[in-house]
Formats: sequence, structure tokens, C-alpha cells
Amino acid sequence: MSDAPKVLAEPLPEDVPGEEHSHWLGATVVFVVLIALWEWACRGLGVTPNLLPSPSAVGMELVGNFATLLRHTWVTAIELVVGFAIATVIGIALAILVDRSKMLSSVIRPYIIALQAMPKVALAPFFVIWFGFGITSKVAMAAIITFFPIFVSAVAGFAAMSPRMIDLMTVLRATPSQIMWKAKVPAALPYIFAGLEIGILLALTGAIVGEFVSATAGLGYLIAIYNSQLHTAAAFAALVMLVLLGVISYGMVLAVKRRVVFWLGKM
Amino acid sequence: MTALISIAGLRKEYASSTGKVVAIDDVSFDLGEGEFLAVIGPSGCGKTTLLRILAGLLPISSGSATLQGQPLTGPSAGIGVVFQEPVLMPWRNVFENVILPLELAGKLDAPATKRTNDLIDLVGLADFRKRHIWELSGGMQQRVAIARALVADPVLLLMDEPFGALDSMTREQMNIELQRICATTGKTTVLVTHNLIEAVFLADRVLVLTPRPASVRALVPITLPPRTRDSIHTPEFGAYVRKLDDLIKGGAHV
Repeated sequence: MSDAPKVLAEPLPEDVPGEEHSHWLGATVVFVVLIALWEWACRGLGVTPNLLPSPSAVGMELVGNFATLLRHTWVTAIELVVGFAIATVIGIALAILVDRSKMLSSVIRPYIIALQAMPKVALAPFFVIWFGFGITSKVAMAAIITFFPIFVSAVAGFAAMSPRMIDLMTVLRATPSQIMWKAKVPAALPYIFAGLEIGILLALTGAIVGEFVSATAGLGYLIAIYNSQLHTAAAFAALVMLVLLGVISYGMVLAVKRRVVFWLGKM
Repeated sequence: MTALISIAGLRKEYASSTGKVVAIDDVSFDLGEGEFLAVIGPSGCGKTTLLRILAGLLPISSGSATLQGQPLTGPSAGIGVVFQEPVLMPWRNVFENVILPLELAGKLDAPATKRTNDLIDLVGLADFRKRHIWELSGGMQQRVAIARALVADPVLLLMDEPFGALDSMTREQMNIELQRICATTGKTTVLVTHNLIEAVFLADRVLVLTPRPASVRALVPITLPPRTRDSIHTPEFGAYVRKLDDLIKGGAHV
């Protein structure tokens, strides 16, 4: 479960920085070559800009339209973060309740399975009816699509608790809530973070789907509007912002994971 | 000497898919204050089951088991347990792992901190208080587990093959350490082991169990003077090991 790449042979210490360097260098070279090819294809082959804008045109949009792009990125980011936070709290809380009560578990399980089997994006139009055109319906969409991986991974994490640890806590006469908070929750954190990693990307998908259906702001809204105007370069610029938002939020979850689950891969 | 632990006619049955399985059939022994008892027997004979009953993790089917005159009906504050594996929490450092029993009992005060530090010193980890668990070797991890089992000052220490996963060099070293720790604390100890040298080295008496269902084959007092690293190589020590080996194999030898 470690993020560190599997090292089959012990590399010489001086090899490591060089290895890392060439890795990044290679990625950068590939990026530059792809952009150059793309630019060349647009100019040399005369592809209609509405069909595929050149990287330089997208770059001009990013710079020229930056204030607007940033404003809409902010809206999507809020939806993403709030939806993700709600899903995290409800997902983990419900997983704890399910772990504590066998009866509750058997009562809600069929509903969880039914909801999980349904494609959540199909709920987007209903959320607009219930929560309006504003940010709330997108938050709801992001939250419900994110809830399942977090809930399921937390339940799996609690169930994976080692029987020996249970024995230890039993011998020490720990109360059920001590067992939960001092043993099960920390032991399940690697699982929970696996769910959060998937969840943060799904939350972004949820927010964008919500914006596609009906919205007045956000990157999904912007892409839909620019597309309808055949202003493809501007839509691509919004797409670039979307990628940046996704990468940054995912990176933040990974950074938090490394701090919180500091023992991961060490035992 | 009044018995600290008193086991009489203890029987343990399991319900299984093929019917009733008898794990322990008629085990009786008394254990005095400060005594060190080693429990040996063939693999799968029910040694660990007996220890889990003493730890309060399993109920008995019939017979009686008392600690200080009180029936053992579940985990007791008076018992510390060391398992086969250290069972440490990797999100806690050495100190935080050792203090866990006091923390769970709601006793996080200055004396608790002092006692925890004293026990970390006793098991020889004074320089490792703030270390992460994964920075310790297997033997050091099991020392942490021993300190944790002793921190709440139990009247009885139970150990279930605590050094089984260690290499023989480390194991020998841990036996010497454990002997010193038990001598220092004067704890009554029950050690389940399959290592006969370990049993003769540490125990005042050795309980030899029969193959499943376990019953008492013999209760052998070890009347050697306090043992040192060198006593392992004496003929008297060797004679005890040989005797226990014969008892486990149950007269199969010629």
C-alpha cells in the first residue's frame, strides 16, 4: 500500500537523484513534443480552430480570460470541497454506526446496495428540482457520488481490524467506544484514505455533472456555454483549469494522507 | 502459601460443524504467588486455549478457575498478557504504546507517566521512548509488549510463546532479560512455550500437557539453582530437558 515505487535492486545512493531527474526530464520532453506536434497539426494541416484549437490559441485564452476562468474555478472548487467534506463526514459516521450495530447494518444495507447500483449522475436533474440552480445542487451531486467509496472503504477498514488487536483491547477491558476510537479508527485510516483518494476525483466529476445539467457559474457551466458558442479555444482553457483543480485537490489529499497515516508502508 | 491461581477439573469444549470438540479435558493445578510456571505440550494440544481461558478471552465449559479466590469470568485488571506477536499500534510511539493500559483505565496522570518510563527502563528501551514501532527490531517490539503488560501492575503475567518468532540468538537474550524482569518485579508468570530449554531456563515448575484433548501429564518442579547463561550446558539442565522431551513424547521412546 506504499506510494514509494517498488525498488527491486538497491540503487547506489548517487543514482537516485539522477534517476529522479531523468524521470522529470522525460515527462517534460514528452509534454513539449506533444504540444509542438499539436501546434504543428493545427497550423500545418489547417484544422478548423472550432474543431481543435491550437495550444497557442488556448494559451492566449488562458491569459486573456484569466479573471473569468479563476472566478468560475473558485465556484467549482467550493462545490468540490463542500461536497467532499459532507461525504467524508457522513460516510465515516455511517460506517462507524454500521460497525457498532449489527441490526442497523442489516437494515440499511439493502438501501446502500440499491443506491450504489444506481448511476448517481442520473440524480442530477432531480437535485436541480430539489436544491435549485445554485451551488447547493452541485454540492449535493458531489457529495452523493463521493459518499460511496468513502463509506465502503471505511466499513472495509473497520472489518479488517486484526483479531489480535481486538484480543489486546478485550484483555485491557477497553469500552466499545475506546475500541472504536483508539484502535479501529486509526487502524482503518489507510483504508479510509484509499476511499478519500478516489472520492476527491469523483467529487469533481459530481460538481461538473451538476453544472452541465443546469448552472449559472462554474467550470462545467463555462465549458457548456463556450461549446454552444463554438468558442472551442475558451472551452479548452476552462478544461485546463479543470485539470489543474483536479491535480491540486488530489495532491492535497495525498499530502494529508502522508502526514496522517505516517506509518503506512513502514510496518 | 495460598494459591494465587487455582484451576480444578477445567474442561473446554467447542461446538464445530462435525460436533463437539474437546480441547481441554480435566486440567488442574495451583499457582503460588511469585511462581513461574511454564506450560509445554505437543503442537495443537490446547496450550494457547488454556492461556486464553486464563486471560479471560474464552469461557470454560466446566470445572473452576479462580484468581485470588474470585472466579475468572472475563478479562481481569489483575492480569497482563503478552501475545505471540507484539500487537503494537504503529500510530503510537514506544511510550504511547506502553502507557495504553493506564490510558484505557482513565489513569493518565504523573504517576502513570513515571511508571511507564520506569517499565521502559526495566525492559532496556530507555533510549527508545519516542521511537516509532517500525524502527525497532522484533525482540525490541516484544520488550515493548512486555512493558505494556506490566504497566498496570497486574498480579499475574501471561505469555503465549512470546519469543516464538525471534531468531535463536535473540531468543536466548530475551530469556535472560525475562528472567531478570521477573526477578525484579516478582510477578507470578505463566509462560506457554514449545521450547524446552526456555521452559527449564525460566520456570520454577513445568506443566506438561498431553496431546489434544489436553490433560495434565506431569507437573515437574525444576530444582536447579537460579540459572545463568552457562547453566544451559550443565548435565543437570540437560537431564531436565531430556525428561520433559520424554514426557511430551509420552513414552514413545524405547
